[in-house]
Amino acid sequence: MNEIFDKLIIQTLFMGFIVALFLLYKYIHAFFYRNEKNNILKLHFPAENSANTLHFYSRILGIAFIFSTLGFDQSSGIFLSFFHFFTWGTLSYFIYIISIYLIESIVLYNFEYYDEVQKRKNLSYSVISFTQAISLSFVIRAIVKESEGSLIILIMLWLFALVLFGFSTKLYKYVSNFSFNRMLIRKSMALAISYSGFIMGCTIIIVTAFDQEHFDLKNYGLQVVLRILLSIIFYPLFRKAIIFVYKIQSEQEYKPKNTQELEIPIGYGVYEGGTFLASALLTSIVVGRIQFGTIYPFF
Amino acid sequence: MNKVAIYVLILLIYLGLAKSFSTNELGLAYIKNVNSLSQIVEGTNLTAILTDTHSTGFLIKTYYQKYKIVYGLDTPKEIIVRTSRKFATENLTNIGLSLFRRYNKDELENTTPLPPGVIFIGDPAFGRWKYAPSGRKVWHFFKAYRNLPKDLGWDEFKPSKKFLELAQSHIGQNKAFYGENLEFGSKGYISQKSFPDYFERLNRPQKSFQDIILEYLKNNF
Repeated sequence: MNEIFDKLIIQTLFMGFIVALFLLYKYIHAFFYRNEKNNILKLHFPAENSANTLHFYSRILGIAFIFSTLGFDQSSGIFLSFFHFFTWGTLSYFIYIISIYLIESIVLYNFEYYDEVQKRKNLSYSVISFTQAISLSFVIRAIVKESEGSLIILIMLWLFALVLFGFSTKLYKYVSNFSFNRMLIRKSMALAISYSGFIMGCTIIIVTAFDQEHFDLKNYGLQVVLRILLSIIFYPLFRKAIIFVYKIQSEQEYKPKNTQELEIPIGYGVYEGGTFLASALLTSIVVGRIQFGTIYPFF
Repeated sequence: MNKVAIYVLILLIYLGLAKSFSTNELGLAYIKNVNSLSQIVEGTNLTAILTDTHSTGFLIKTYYQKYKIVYGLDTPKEIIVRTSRKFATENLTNIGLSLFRRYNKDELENTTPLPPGVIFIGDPAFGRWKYAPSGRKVWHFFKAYRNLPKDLGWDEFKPSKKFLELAQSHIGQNKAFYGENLEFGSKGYISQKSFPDYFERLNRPQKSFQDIILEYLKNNF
């Protein structure tokens, strides 16, 4: 019985510690998104501004995802396990916050959080921000896992992953028919869904590329690049195949309309986003989930 | 058209990078023909026995060979090399034969496919001829080299003087020699027994599709 109680106390302590880290995030969020109207440090009313709630909870979920990778190793003592969780939790936490800041600066450089979320309550902006935050949390989670407790490897992989992620966000304009900035100003949910599908797809490909055994960093980096290249080869093939198999006539429906004036139906966004995401998922199977075993005889 | 060109370019970049950094081919020397063996095999008084061969690839094939290098004065070692299709195909019948020898004297080399160990037979530094109960002269290694017959994969084989003469005659004609009674090479029983890997793979029974499905269902459901 004593042991069960002791374990319960330790688990409660750990829970308190995680909550303390979330409290820290509250202040960091307030620092990054300073505004007078709806300060996070005051009372929070989720129903008041859905766009803001979505934006804020994307971060909460993202941090929860990242923390779920970490664990407490009680065998090395309670202090060390706390210290390990604290250092790696804080590190991955800051890496995540900086990543969000950098990627949002790249993708949403024409838009201000205060204008879009607080003033205009632009749900499309919030959905895009939500998807980016969640996607980044999966990427950070993957690199924290792959760094295997090495700070140097973590930093190298983080920079590498950020480059890949940033590069993938820039590819959207080449694969989609949506004009990102124009449609975002119009609060287009079709754009939000399409972009979300695309960025989630890219995240799946990046995470699949990082998810492999590594013995030295140089070789691992090369293998990651090779998997990304392989994904770029298969991804468009899957996309074309899905469109061909289901005889999707998107172009005819979309092009004759005057996109300058008309609202693009959500269905078109679902089509684009769904195809992007399905293609990426299928690509990840081909690129990362085939166990080749011993297909060749060996000496 | 531009999209197709970019796609082809990415495909070529991938193939180039994957080939350059493939871990399967790292550290493997390439030999175009038997003369190239001379550059990768070091030392003297040695014989290089082809013990196994296989190819990989469905569309583009890569050929590999495994050699056992048996030294007169050192422990044997194994090397794996990549090779050309022509050379690999030419030597499919020569598994178990020595394809390359380097003598002590002036580092003289010879590349006629011969049963392993001909380089040592008749050399008074390694052994001497003795009369067998049958009355014919057979080669015996000195005690210091008692492991050589095993390393060479001779099993119970005792080379006779006639065997050596025939081997030397084949060297003169640069023609493959498989033993007096074809004991060596891919069809020879001694080579098949001493270097079984290739032959086991070759004779492995192929499972029918029905057997594979039945086995899968048995193991999984």
